[in-house]
Amino acid sequence: MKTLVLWLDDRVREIEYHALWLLLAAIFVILTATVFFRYVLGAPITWTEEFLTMLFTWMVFIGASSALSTHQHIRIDIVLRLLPPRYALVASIVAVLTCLAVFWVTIHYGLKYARTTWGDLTPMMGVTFGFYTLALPVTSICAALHVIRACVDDGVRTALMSTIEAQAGEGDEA
Amino acid sequence: MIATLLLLLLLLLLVGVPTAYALAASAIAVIWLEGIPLTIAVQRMTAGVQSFPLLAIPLFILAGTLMNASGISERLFALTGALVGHIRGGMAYVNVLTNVFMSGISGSSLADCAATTRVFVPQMIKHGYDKGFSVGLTASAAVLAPIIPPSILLVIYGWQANVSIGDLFVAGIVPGLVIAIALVVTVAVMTRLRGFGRGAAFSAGKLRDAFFDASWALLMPVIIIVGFRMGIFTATEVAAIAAAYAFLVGVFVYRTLKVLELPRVFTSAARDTSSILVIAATAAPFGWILSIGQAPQQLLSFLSGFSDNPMLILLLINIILLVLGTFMETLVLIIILVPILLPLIETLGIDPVHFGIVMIINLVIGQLTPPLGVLMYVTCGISGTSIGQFMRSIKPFLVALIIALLAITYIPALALYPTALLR
Amino acid sequence: ETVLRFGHPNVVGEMSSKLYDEFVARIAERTNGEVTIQVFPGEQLGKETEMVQQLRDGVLDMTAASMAATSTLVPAMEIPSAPFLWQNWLEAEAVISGAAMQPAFDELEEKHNIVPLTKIWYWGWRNFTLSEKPVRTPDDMAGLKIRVPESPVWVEMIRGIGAAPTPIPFSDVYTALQQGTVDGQENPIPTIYARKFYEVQGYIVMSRHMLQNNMILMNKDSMARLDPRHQRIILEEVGAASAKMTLLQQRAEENMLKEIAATTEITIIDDPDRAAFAERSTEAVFTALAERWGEDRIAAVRETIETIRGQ
Ligand code: NA
Ligand code: NA
Repeated sequence: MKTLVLWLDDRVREIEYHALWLLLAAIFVILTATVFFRYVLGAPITWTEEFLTMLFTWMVFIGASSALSTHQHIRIDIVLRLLPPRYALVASIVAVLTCLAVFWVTIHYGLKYARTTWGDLTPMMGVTFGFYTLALPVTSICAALHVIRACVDDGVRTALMSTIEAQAGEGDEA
Repeated sequence: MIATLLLLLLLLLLVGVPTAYALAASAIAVIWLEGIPLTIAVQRMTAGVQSFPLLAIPLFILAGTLMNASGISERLFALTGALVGHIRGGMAYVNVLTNVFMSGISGSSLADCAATTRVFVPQMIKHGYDKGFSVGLTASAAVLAPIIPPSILLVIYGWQANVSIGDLFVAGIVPGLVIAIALVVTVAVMTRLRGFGRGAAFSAGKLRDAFFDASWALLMPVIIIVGFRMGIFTATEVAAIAAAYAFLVGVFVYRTLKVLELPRVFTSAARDTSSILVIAATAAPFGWILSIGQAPQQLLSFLSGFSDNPMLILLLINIILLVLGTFMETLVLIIILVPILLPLIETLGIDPVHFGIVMIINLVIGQLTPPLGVLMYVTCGISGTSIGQFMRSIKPFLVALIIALLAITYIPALALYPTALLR
Repeated sequence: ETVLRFGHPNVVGEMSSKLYDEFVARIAERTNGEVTIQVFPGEQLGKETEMVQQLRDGVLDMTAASMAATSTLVPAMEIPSAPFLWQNWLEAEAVISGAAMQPAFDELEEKHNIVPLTKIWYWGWRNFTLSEKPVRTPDDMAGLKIRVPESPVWVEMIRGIGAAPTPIPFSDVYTALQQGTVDGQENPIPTIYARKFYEVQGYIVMSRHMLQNNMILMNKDSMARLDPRHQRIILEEVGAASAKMTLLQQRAEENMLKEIAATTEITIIDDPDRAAFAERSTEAVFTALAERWGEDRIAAVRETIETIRGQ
């Protein structure tokens, strides 16, 4: 079971890695081209706003999932220190369960929302709104997998630890 | 409803739920308790990132990364060092000055902050500045972006308050400079007290060499400012043009950028953006509930019963805006609050143009503080600073910003005299 | 006692907003407080199209939206926004609330669970503003960059006229006009006035090229849950407000134009060659969007217009 989770999670990480640079590169190229076509050629492209927000939506949600896997997500660490250390394990379990519950809602209701918006067409490209609305549920599946993997691999206590806190912790001691 | 929401958020932050998911979970719980269909949570999250101006953020991060990787930053800072390195805090003054210039192009504090954090923070650390100081200064200086024109926030305010956007733009200039001066004074005091920020002695020969070495790099700000003023590109597109220029110079002129390394650079810029913007996404259903629960209105009616002294009311409004700016998205707040505040402001005899500037400054300062401080998240995410460290180092700058805010609040001429001159 | 949530995009102070508040108060009064409506103005709950989605999902009970905003659900709702389609408002009012548009409203009800409380909420005719060039004919506009919303009706219309359709996000329009990124834009007078576009423009061309009509919409189930007596009161009050809106908004438009002319050095061109613009753009748009809107539905609307004009 553990090996399956690790194997699956590694594949998802690879896909996310490549999806992220491809999406940002596409956004970069299209936005630059928008300026070129409008100013240099005097023939503005008329579908970029819609297409770019679509790519961007996917980029943000994939990136958010990917940031969980690399522990680059943001936590407010100063409040964490308010909690007495003996509650640390309970707190970690509650935190992990809360995240998984959020992902369950965004997957379940996200798919429901994708179904109701599937017939709606975007004005310019005339494609389904599902291209926007699927981003959240699909990436939530990946994010849930990353959190489960972190629990399986390193234990619940450090599953949601962020690298920023680790670095800052070292800095504080020095 | 509002109390449950806020208590839940605090509790979840306390047990260590990442900020984005703490906001999401508390919003979801309240939506469920209120019996509202849960698809609204999903719709608001998706809508929260479907905003075109947000695109500037990953591209400015990318531009900053490419400037660093290509050697453009290195050369610009070598020139800066030769120019002002002998002055204590020279690099920090340049940071403020750069933000003043960027504010003249961009209206988004977030986008500006993304670029300057990427470029300035590593260089300042390298030149012997304290990390907390560098991060605090960079985040605070980004406050200027929506105050010095152009500014989307002022455009929205002008629409809501029915005052001239042209007047608002002119009124923003001097208060912007007042804030810049407040930051400069803070830098002067802190570098002296803490004893950092001085480089090698001044040398004309070194300066000349550095100047020629940086000529391609120097062209970058020129192209950006001229291109924007001539209407070649919009504020959002500036970010892409900056990245494109850094890319071309890095690949073809300096030949320092390796094409094979680019995927890693792009992925890391995308991931940095997302770890911040997912908070914007999950803050959207949270803000939606605050709207449905009429939280801003409740706070204000609580306030208006307090006093009828205009000065005191203005102070109370300042405090409330700072608090609300902490929990809600700036744009949404302007749309909700302006119609409620405006009649009050007008009966007190306060000019709505002046009030617009005060209100925007308030709301942007609110972006610097937890739990919902987008500027704080941008700087921390990009520079790898913990929120705790950030909170410790932002204090002197917050004091400076609040002193500037009070000056701008109680000396209306700072905002209004220039508009009167131009009439 | 029923509490309804009404989210709308208009800001406090706008004519629409005042009239919404008025009918909300009248409904509460006439139902003895048994139906109260909570109003959430100014896009605070979401953008126009997002609120229409919230209405469909039953998150909101009521919303106000332009016909174009519902076209993501029912494309044919956009037909009345075709350029230079109408000669006057009475004609538009008759066709929109008549049999020709009924199939589109049926689709909105059957597929998306949304019913109109009123199909008519006059917002205004869209007009061009330009930075530097006085425009009277389509040829005057050749090659100019005109800001448009990213939507095919606008893109095809501007292309037909011979200018360059240039999408700029709405929040950036003021600055884009100021810096000269685009040479002009088009919007109804109330929008040009409220968003201050006239501050950075030299000319307003009264082309009245496109009609913007809004609607007050309600979730079908929320409507069905109400007592029939209350349903009737709501329909009556919203209908009365709609009639009032037409009158007041047209008067307000005149006053706004007067105020714009008095406060800035802007030239108002009142006699553009509408026929020449129509010739270039109306057919172009109908051809390009025939498939999206449905040929039969376009034909029904155009035939009704002919019939009305023949009478
Ligand atoms: Na600015
Ligand atoms: Na804050």
